[in-house]
Amino acid sequence: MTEAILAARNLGKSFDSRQVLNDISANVDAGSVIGVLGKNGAGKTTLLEIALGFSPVSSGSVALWGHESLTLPSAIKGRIGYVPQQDELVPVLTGTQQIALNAALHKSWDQELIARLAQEWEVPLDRRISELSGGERQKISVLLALGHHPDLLVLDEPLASLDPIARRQFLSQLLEITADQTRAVIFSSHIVSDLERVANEVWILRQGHMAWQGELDVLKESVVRLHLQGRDQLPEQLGIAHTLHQQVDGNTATISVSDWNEDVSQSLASRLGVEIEVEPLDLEEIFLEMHR
Amino acid sequence: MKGVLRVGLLQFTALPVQRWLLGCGAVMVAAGYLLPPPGTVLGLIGLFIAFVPTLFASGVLLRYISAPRVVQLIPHVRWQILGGMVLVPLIIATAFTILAMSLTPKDDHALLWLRIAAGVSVLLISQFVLIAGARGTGFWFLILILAAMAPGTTATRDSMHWIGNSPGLLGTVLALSWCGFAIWFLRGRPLAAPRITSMVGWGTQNARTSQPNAVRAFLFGDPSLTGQFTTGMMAVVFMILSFGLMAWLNGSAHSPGEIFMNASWKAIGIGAYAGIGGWLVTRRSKFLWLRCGLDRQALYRLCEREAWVSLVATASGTFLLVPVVWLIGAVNPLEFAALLAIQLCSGACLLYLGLMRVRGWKLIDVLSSLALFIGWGLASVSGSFLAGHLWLVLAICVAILAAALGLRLIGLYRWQRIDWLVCKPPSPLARNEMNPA
Repeated sequence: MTEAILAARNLGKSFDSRQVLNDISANVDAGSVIGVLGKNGAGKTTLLEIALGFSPVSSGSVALWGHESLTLPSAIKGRIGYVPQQDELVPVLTGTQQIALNAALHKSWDQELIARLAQEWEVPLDRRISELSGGERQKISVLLALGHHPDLLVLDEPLASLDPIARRQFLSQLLEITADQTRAVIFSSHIVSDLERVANEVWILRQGHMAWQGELDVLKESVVRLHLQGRDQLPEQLGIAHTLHQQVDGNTATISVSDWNEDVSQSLASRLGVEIEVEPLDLEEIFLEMHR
Repeated sequence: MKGVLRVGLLQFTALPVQRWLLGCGAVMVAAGYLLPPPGTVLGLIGLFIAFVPTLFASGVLLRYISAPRVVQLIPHVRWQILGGMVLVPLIIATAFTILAMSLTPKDDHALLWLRIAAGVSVLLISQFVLIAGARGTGFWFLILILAAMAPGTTATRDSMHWIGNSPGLLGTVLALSWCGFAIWFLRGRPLAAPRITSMVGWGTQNARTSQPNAVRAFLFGDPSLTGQFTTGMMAVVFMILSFGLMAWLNGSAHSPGEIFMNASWKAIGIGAYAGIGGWLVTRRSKFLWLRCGLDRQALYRLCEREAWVSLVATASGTFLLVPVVWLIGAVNPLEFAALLAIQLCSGACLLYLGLMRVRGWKLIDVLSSLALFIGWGLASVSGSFLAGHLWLVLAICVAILAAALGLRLIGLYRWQRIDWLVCKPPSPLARNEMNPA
């Protein structure tokens, strides 16, 4: 069995008395593209930064390739590419200078790849960073994270300022990176449709807890909306396990459930004497249902 | 009205250090009231401690608050900011006057109130208007220094005495300052946030691609070591020129040698300021965690080395003063070098204070900073006494360096678990507001 790229065990983080992350356990294996979802303040950035060793855990552990994140050795750091939420570009430099200085800090650097991507993404490298728009700066941040061919790419809200064309180009680049199944990508985004397009796993954070984690297909199969149609008045409390949200109106009811399967529908139909229509949800709807 | 009160409150509590000092000041004021007459001076000192950050930061702070375009869209926002701003001199003057009433019941307290309100108003307004860029900041400090030196000449002393003793004139100064400012501020012209670091990074177009340059670029926002040297040199030249001009104008020095020496004693203060690099690199060290392949301890040492390089580069101009002093022969160059050494040791202490401040303002950070500030102030004002006692200077230098060593150990210990979610790099938000590209 191959070693997990990232392994978090019962990870917790608090600032003074404020608990930000609680009992997070997760694995990232090679070939994974993990989308991290959560409302503002759910703990996405904190989780990603702790995983990369920027911040010590308050409880539990987190390791990259078996090394504790807080004391990552040089060789492991060289295998990570990171795009932070707030860019770390030097305003007085031009894009070319910024890339060159960044390259100077890495053992290997694929300038050819960067030049190609810069051209494809139309990044004006000859202008000073301070003169660039938010989207252009974000493109440069992404370029900086790709130049050394990282085995783990962590992107914290990389799509926020990109236009639709740039987003498409960027997402196809992500798929290219993970095509050989030796690398992994973790990225958080609020643009759920984009995340759905490329992620094969999803982590949903809610108030510092991992509300759901697993393969995207499994998530979409297990979280559904059920439309119940009965002959008589339905009870206010339907007693359905894993209910996210329910609305009962006379002899009809709409219920969102997690952990759904055919058996659930069959037992429900026989217990309540209703007809059930199952509506699959897309990721955005699932996210909204989970946060109702 | 709520907005006005909030802006007013913000000016006393916006920075963590302000809240700390406000708390300390409040305790001292309370103690001053409870103690018998000589002890009431403690209350006066407490008020100074509580209000000093407000006096020297709130003008800049308000400019930062006023500048964002999002803020400018809020209805009547300028009126609210102006109202909050007016509260500052009112509160400070009233607090001091109430305390003075218990200290000296027979004095003219209305006049005292007017004096303080006028002084604070001028300080605040001038900050807001001038501190918008590097040049304006330099100009503001120059005016501040000139104002501090003004009592040195008979003419300015008499003028200040005349204005300061006339309630009518003071009231006019107060009213005119605020009316003029209100007209300028309320006309609605967009304001830029202060760009006091805009000088950083000049001449970086030819930045060479090397690891040391890359490290400097991430730590200082400027890969050019020459830039740091040039800035240090220019600061010395600027101080020599401005203090020399003042010494010449107020007649405290006559010959060119005397004027130069008079200014040089002040210019060596840059030696202490040069330690500021420790604070800069600590906040930006996060950028190197994944890039440099170093562990936390090694990263501390790298940042320490870069902060020292910055200290030497920035203070380099003051080293050149020693041979010049020797050539002029006005004072013993050894004595001059000894006092410069105190400044440089203070700079080293400041550097390690910055490197150890990774968890915000903890009690030990506040106490160390206060101790350094008070010690540095005492050593600076007793220069003429210390110049004749070189062994004492040596002892002071050793004591400061020992303190710096202690701070270094604390820093090294803290950096083992430095948390960059707490010790955050400077926010790019302000930068974006400055450069709305």
